[in-house]
Amino acid sequence: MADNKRWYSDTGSHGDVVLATRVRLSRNLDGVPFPSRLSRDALARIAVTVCAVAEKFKDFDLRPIAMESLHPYEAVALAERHLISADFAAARENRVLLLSEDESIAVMVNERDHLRMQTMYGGLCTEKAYGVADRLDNAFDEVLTYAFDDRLGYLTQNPADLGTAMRASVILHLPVLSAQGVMLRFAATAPKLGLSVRSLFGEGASAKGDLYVLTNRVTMGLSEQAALQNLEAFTLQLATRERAAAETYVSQIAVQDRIRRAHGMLTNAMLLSADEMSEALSLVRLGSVYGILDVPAETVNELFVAMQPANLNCLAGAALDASDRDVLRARFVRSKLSE
Amino acid sequence: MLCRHCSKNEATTHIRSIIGGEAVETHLCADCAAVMGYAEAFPLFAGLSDLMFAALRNDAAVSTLSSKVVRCETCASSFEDIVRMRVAACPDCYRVFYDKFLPTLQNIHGKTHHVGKVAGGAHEDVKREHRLYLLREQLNLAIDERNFELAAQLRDEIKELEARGNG
Ligand SMILES: [Zn+2]
Ligand SMILES: [Zn+2]
Repeated sequence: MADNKRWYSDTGSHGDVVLATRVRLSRNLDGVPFPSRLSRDALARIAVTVCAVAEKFKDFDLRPIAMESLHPYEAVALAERHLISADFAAARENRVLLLSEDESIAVMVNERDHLRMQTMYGGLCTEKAYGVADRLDNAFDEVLTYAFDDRLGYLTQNPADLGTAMRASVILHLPVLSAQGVMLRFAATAPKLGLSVRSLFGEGASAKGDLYVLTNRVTMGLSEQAALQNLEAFTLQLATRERAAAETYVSQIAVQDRIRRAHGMLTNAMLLSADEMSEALSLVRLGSVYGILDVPAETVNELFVAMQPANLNCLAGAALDASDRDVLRARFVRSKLSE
Repeated sequence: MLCRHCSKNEATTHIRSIIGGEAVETHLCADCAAVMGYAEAFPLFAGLSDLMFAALRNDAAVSTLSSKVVRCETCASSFEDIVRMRVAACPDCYRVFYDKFLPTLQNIHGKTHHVGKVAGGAHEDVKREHRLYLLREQLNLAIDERNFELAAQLRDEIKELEARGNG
């Protein structure tokens, strides 16, 4: 049942290159100051109201989670799985998360805007992700009065979000374009199309695991459909380039050697740091996509997500220190890859 | 401080993010930050860039010279407050200071008028305008694809909707 799978366990359309598609919509209640300007009581009232509204939804089964009730690493683990923002995990007071069982729908209550709802699925699926977000938005809109202006669209705390207040993103794995050092050049063309590219992990040009996030930048004067089409078109362009470059790349014996050595390292290591793992996993994923290794791509996707520090802490049920995490990470990766 | 990426230019963009559970600070020059897409990466911490708010600051300077400071009735913010905070305080701020926001919006988006989904609370005529916009987009597409049957159907629908607006 593809629909019950979490985004990182499901390889969808164009799954060789696209790990996931996410759509986020920001909404605010009319006549109410934005969360950063509200008292504790006022924030609590908003949380109660929104939860009461969501409880009555027939099409969406959302469970409320009081962010304050979570252990810090549990909150960060949610951010590592891209279900909430880093800030929502860092400052948890008066914030509530509404989450569906399969994690495909998440609503942040009292983030920078009153409501920030997101949908996330495996593969490239802008239409599906927006479709579900749109229906959820309509369900809230039937009951709540949104802050909306004829000229400016949905009113949001940050003027950069005005208009559709929609951020649509895709997570891309581009190991060959990264290895050939052309990613920065492609990234530089993205702003011309109203898009931005950044690395998923890490900082700077060294995108750990060769994972990138492509997001629409412009929200004003461009319909949701047009923005999604731009995003999808650029994604397909990158995917085409990656595949074209990969054909000759993976046929090289030196590359195949690196892929198999990476796999050997991951299946044998006793200690594994996050960086070391990401680098090797990227090669293993490449080997998996091009039939060099017999490892399902979704297994690699899951490891990318599950082996991040806070998620490892959740697995262990304790806040481990880095060296203990390296032991646990190595053990988990070994067992996962020899299944 | 030099840019962490190119080590050549002065770092002007400071990014705080949580990577793998640990807060990480990155310092980049504007060029590298733009290439890496950081301008949009963490808007929560970043707010708007100085450049984007330059136009606003000039406006605010003028407004403090006049004796009467205009404030948003809902949140009591003056426009100067908004410039200082770099974000709006409540939805009504946009309605009160609409004209003053326009140069910033032009800077960020290149456009100042919303196109797209309309909230349920919006006026009927806004909803009709939006429906018309979508129908016209579909009509253009139908003509491009030489689907004349659909085009005729869409034209009728547009005519009917326009008539309702004028009636
Ligand atoms: Zn630089
Ligand atoms: Zn206000």
